[in-house]
Amino acid sequence: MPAGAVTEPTRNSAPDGSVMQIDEPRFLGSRLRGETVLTDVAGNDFRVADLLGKPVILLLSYYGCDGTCPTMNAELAKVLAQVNRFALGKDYRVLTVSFDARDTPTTANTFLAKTGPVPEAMRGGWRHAVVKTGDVKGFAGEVGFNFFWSDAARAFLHPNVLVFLTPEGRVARYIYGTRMDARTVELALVDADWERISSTTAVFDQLTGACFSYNYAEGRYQWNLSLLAGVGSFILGVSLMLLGAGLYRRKMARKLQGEMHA
Amino acid sequence: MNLKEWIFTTDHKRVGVLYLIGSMAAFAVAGIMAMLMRIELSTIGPTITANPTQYNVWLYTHGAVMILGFQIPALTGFFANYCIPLMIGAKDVAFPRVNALSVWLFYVGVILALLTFFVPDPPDIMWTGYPPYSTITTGNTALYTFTVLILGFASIIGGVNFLTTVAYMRAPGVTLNKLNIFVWCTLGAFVLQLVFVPVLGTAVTLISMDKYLGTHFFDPANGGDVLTYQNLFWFYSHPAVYVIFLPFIGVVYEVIAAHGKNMVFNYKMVVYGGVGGIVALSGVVWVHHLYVSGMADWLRIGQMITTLMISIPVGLMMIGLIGTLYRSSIAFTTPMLYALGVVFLFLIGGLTGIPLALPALTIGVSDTYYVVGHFHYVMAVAGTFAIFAGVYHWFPKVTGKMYSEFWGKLGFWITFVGVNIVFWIMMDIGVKGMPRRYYDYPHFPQFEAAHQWMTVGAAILGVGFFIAVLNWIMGAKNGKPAGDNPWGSPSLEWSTVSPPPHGNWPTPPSVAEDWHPYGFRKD
Repeated sequence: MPAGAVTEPTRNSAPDGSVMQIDEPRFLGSRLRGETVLTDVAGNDFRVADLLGKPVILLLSYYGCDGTCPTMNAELAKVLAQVNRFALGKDYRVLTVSFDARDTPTTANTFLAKTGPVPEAMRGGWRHAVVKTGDVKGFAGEVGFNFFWSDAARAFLHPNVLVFLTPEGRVARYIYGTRMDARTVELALVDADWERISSTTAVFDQLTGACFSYNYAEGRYQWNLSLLAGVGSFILGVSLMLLGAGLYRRKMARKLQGEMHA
Repeated sequence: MNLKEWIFTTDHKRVGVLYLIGSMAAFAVAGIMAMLMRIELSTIGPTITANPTQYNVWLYTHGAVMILGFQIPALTGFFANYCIPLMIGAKDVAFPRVNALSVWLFYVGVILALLTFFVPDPPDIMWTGYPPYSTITTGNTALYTFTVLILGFASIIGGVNFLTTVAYMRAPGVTLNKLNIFVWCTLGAFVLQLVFVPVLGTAVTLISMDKYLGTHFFDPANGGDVLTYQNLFWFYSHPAVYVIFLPFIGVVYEVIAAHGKNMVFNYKMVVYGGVGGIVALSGVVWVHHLYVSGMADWLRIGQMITTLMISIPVGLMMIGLIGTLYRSSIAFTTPMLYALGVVFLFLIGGLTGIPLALPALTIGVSDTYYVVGHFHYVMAVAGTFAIFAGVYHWFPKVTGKMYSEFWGKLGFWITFVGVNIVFWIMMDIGVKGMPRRYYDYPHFPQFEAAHQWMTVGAAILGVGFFIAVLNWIMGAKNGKPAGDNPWGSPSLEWSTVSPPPHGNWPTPPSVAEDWHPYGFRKD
């Protein structure tokens, strides 16, 4: 059997468009149980909870996919190479997990060979894995991720989404689409880690993060205009105060000079 | 009395009196709203209205008018206008016409606030105006926005005026270290107003833009950030607490020094440590209003520390007051009783505030009557008592006549008892779980008796305030001549005749080198 081939599809249902949507109000903030045991490409078992403690980007794919899953993984690798503010492995981790119950470490390896291996610099922080025990659907469902098999397409239909988890395993942000950019990923990582000051520069990360807010309707970050307007008006008030104080000092200095000359 | 002369006056004293009349009218309206709420809450189920929105309108009017229409204008409008030029030996303020504009704007703001009773869908968004409710309610959010903007603008131009006045118009010899504590406190309050009011103005403008122009500044579904409003609002509104606190504690200093005939204890500590410390720290404590709104722990803990830190300058100011009382010749006049009342009430309010600075405790009592009781003690009641102390103290200067001490003291004691009945019980049932801002409380029948006691207490304190105001009116009309300096104070405002003429002194005052506003003779 060729690696990644689908021989016994998890036959489900007729196509259901709502599957592609994640119920964000329900799942944002929900917490992964973390007890699911995964097996990585080297055959090592680990629990999801073992990866937590830092923000995690969770990418749910299936390794027999010849559609968007390889694109998502390859695109993510490209974007992470451009993320300079945070170091993969040190500041955050990435976890690709198959939602196809038939996937194995072998199919995962084949997938990696097909999509291009994880760059050397990222290997310490990015693991590809399959669910060893338990319910795949249940694991994906913990973050609101649904999928189904389409006989017509002979493929799984599923959302293309990066799930950003907090160090405690709570869902902090969903970023949709196969096209992604480094700034969005950085801001989503700030959102995922805003409860902690993990380093001396993290305060500045939080401040820049506060300058942007996430637009759920358009699925992108945008300037937090209300905050900028507030900060601008505060700076205006302080500037006018300082201007007044400066003028007062200058006038007093001139008066003093005049008195000394007199 | 020529009404036109009063309306178009540029005399700082008349402008001050106009502020007093307007703010006392606002106080009466806010008091009636409070009484209506208390009557409504005296029984479970509808008492005088079956419409919860009507209750919200009362609540909105009470909060907005008490803070924006009564306390801030009375303290930074009446007292600052009337007293500051006199205390520094100036004939008027730096920009008298701007001063007149400021009081007109204040009246426009008060009228806008009172329109609440006449527009079809009055604002029902409390004085905080939090979105998303303020952007989706059928209530008139624009009225709230314009009221805040008008009153805010009035206070900004007032602030510029007084900072300029004190900077440039002090009489020869009145150096910075010889300014009255009240002047320092008011300057601190105006600095806060100038720096922080623009932020509030921006925030309330943006909620109206969201509601009426379809923008999404605070709409999270479309990229807005609903919590930003709360941050911007409290970024101004916590310093606004000090905009009230600083002048009122300044008034109390003047009263206690004059009626105790004592030098202010550790003047420089009070000015630089107290006033300076509060001004410096007041902008970094606002987050304690948002402990339960969702925030990072590091921010919560950071602002817990700053909140606890600001109790140091506030504590210095209280030490200064107690030190001034120590070994002073206390005369238990009406103003002194009110001033001592402030010390007592503020101590209760301040000490009950410490648990609210600590996130672990706040989360337990957040949105309960405990918080309501605390801020009424620390700000509303202490501030109002200070205003009454000040009005009694400067009453002889303003009118040239003396009020009745008997009615003054009677009014004080009645009010003092009423206040403690209402707000002590409020804190008690808050700790036991009574939530705030509820129109009805069928799930908490155990608190009905307490609510009834509070309604009785509110009626008692209302009677006390009424006696005080009546005492002023009767005193101004029929009081005995007070003389120019009935308290024997060396502070400059008492060096001119009562009431002071236009220009304040026939000839510009000058002070001796050893003069000090608190230099009471000890012999």
